[in-house]
Amino acid sequence: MINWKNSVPNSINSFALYSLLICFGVSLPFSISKGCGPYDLGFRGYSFINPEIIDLKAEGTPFFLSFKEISEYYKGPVAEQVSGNLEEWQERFCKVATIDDIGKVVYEADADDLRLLRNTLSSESLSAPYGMRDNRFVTHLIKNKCFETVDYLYFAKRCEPHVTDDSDPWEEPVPRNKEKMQSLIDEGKRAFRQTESHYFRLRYAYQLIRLAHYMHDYQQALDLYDDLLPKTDNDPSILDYWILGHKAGALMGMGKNIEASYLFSIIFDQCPSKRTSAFRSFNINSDEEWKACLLLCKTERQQAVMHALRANASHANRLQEMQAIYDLDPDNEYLPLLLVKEIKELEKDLLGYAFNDQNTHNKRYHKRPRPEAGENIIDIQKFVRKIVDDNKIEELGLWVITEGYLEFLAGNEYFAQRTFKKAQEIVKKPELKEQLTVWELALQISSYQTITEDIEKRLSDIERLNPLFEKYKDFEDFTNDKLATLYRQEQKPGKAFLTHYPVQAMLPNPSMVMINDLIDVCLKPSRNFIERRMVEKGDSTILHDLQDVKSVYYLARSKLEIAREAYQDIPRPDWDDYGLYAPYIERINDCVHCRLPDSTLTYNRGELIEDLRKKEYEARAETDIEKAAYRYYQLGLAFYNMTYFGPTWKATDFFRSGSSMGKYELLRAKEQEGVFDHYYYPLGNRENMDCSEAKRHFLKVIELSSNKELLARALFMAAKCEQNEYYVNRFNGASRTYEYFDLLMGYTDTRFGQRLIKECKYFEAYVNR
Amino acid sequence: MKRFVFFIGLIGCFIGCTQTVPTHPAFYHWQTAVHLDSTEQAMLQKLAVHRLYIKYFDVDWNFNKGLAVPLASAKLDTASLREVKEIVPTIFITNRTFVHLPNEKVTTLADRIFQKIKSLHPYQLTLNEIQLDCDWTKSTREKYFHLLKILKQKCIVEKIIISTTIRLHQIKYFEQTGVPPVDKGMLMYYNMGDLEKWEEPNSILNNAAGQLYIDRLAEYPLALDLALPIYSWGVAFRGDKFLKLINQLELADLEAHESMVKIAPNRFKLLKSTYIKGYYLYEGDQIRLENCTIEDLENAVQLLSLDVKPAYLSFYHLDSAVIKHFSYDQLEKLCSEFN
Repeated sequence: MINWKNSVPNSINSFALYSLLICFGVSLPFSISKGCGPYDLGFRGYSFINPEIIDLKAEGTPFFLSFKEISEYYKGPVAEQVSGNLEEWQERFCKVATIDDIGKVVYEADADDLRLLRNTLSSESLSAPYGMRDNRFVTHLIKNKCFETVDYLYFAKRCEPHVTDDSDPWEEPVPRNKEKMQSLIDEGKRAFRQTESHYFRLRYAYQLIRLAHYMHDYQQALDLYDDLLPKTDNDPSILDYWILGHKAGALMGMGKNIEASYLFSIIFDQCPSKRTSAFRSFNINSDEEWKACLLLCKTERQQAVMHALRANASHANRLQEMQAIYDLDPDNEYLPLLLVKEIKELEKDLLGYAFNDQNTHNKRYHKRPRPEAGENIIDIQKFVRKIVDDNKIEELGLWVITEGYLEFLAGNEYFAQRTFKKAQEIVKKPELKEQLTVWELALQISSYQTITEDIEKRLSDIERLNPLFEKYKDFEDFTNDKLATLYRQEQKPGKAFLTHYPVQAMLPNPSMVMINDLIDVCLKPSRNFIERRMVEKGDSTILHDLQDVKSVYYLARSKLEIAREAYQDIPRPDWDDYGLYAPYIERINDCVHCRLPDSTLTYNRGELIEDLRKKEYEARAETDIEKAAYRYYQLGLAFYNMTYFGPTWKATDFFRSGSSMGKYELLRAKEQEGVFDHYYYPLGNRENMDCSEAKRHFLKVIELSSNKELLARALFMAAKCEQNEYYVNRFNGASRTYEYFDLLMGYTDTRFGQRLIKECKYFEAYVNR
Repeated sequence: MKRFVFFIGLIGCFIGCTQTVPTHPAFYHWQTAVHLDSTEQAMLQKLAVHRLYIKYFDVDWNFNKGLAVPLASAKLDTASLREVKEIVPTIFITNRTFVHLPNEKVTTLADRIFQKIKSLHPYQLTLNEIQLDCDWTKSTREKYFHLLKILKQKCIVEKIIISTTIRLHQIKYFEQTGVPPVDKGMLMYYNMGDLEKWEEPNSILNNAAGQLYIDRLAEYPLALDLALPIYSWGVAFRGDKFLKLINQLELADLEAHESMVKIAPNRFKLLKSTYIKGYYLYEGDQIRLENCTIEDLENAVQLLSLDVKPAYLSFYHLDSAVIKHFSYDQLEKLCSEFN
């Protein structure tokens, strides 16, 4: 789906289109929100979940759900770990410095910087190392002689190369220097004993256990854990879980995956910064292992967390896991998260399916709706009803309103309405109240079965006045898609089109039923908000623009009477606004984009139609046959020049694509009654490749005239028509004929024939073949 | 007349010579740890296999680093490979690598692949052939073929030939998919069915489906070796929806499982939720077991031998758990069908 705000192909008939762009620019619904440009293959549907119904900052929220709002809290696992660590540093140092300043010391300073900083602390005369002087964290460390902190940072920095891998992935990995790592462990153990701060003891313990883990000395890692952790007595810290992670890793390395998985489940539950890696490391392979792991859990909550972990596997049956969680721990905070995740899936399957214009795309690229969606929603409805009926959960509001929303998604609008009404009395929390209102609004919009003035007014009021319409961005698409469906149903194709696209999207292949529908709207004595937005332009309407399009449509089909009729309501002074054209230009070699000489006689479209009609009349009425023949020649020229092949194509078309002569394009257009596919235009692009009207006039000249010069010119133009006819049909089995070239051979002695041999290489070759 | 007889004789000699080149057995090894156990070594010895196609590493696009990186580099236990006379390093490149790789980086990638292969290759073995495996598409073909050309230029100097894996659709529609600019191809005669469809009889090896792809095999412009499957797997479904593949699942695993009921030949249903080979499946889920019988393989060989005369018939893949289902004689007989 394109975004019409940014995408207008270069070759479009610039004057006509841009004038329309300007005309419609401020008054039409331009945005097509389901997609972000030509290559966006994302899902194109709607969602009306208020992210605030679940606690955005809750432990598991970012892991289970992927709302935009949530992603702003967390920027990925590495960032989570870094920010978690820095926040803790800041907290331990009573917020004496900013996160940035702390980050520069903890993450950016190298070992030399930290060694110099250590020297500064020991010296009365040395100042802070260059680059750290304005750092408030450094100032604090110097002022308070924080030896233990700097010693630890220096030690940690020296451990870093042994536990990180920044090497070129294409180079052979450098084996870990186990000797050096062991010597750091020994040094760290001494430092641990000498350190008074329990917080830094914990940090030393972390460094040492991590080193042992990465050395694959798993037993040493476990021994260090058992030895050092009891000797630290600190407040709770994220390091507790980081250390636990290395213990779990060591256990996994020793093949004790049950114990390891149990620890990973605790880390998953308690430590947001390690949640993703804990989920990946959780590794249970059999029913026996699962049971053994459950036995290690100390509380039912811990068991429920194991189910939450399993529920997040890509092919989990979430409902079964939710039931297990509910049985173990009804108020478990993972339950609403999993519920919302399920609702989001069902929204993709079912919300607005009856009118979403992107169903084909969703089916093709996302396999939506899933075949099992119908069964799923019934099962989830049963589960939600059971929870509501059990009334065991402290915060039941979400479940009550969800019951209604599921009814709506399942197509039971009456029951949904009833459930929502009942929920209004139960729900108290403001975010749930808002959610309820949003779902009720979606239900209201979706439930309209026909379109009337009154419903159009109601919808336009919602759009203009309801703040939730603005807040929940998908309402715009949802309403437009619904409207378009209703308009189509009521035989209002023009209005249906304009709910999704601007008028210019129709121009390459205008549809008369749509244009007439829109003309009717323009002629209405009073228009509602939606109609005004569609057709009004300043103090006026787009009526004349539409009439111009109509005349282009009929001119392209050589129906001069109707084309003139379409123009009669456009005031003559405005005719020049729709372009100037040179229909009678005579060229040997076709050139659609060549600049015309300034002296060329040009006409606006209205005048052109009038002139063609006049010439037709004169040709028929003329008693001098040669003069009549010449009129026919001029008419032939004009009709030829206005085709795809002529320089005046813009008189009968708003868009011309050079690629339309390609094999695939021509064959495809043949299947589609002459309409070429075009990404930008929903109705496709119709090219005026038919030269038969021009040829008919040239044949008339050949029939009437005795003037060899005029005959030569008419035969040449008829030959061009014959050639174009072959080009257009060559992939459909047409064979090349040379009927008029053969006849033209008898006129090589004319002035025009001589000129032709000079200027037309093709004809020259034909003559000399 | 004498001259005519001479030419006929010469042509006859060529035909005769061609016919005498035997098809050699070979194996693919696709795991990272390349350590052959005694069963695998015995198979190589008895079947007189001299050549192994070993996956040295994968190449994938790393979105964080914004570059193509090698993954899962093989760790060769050379002691267990001492009977192997020839290793063909095989590199799997994901198609998305070429989707994201800028044109100007193709040469660098070719350099890096070549260098990494050389660094992993045992020094005592001559490097005669390098094989690349990539399921290229219309949009990535240009870059992949460009990479192959660059690699080929490098290899010519060292008398190494370049081959690529060729999938069945690339045989049938070779005008559209293009023919890789390499010395030879390895036709992968497997993964031919509709894996994600429950009704599919066997997506690994389904000769009825395969036959539809090989009607133009003789016209294919590259010399082809042949790879045949001997592996098995389970394909898990929930309702009609494909869930996942369960590698190395065998009939015995399913028949012995108390939570499983057989609903048709090679098709099972879970009576209760349970773990299978490390995957948790739920009550009502279904599994289609797919494996390759010797009869299927024989039929495949009969079909293919009409149009292809491979220098190597390589079995996918060498693993004692996989090869135990086939005897040496059976595999040898498959090769001899081409001789």
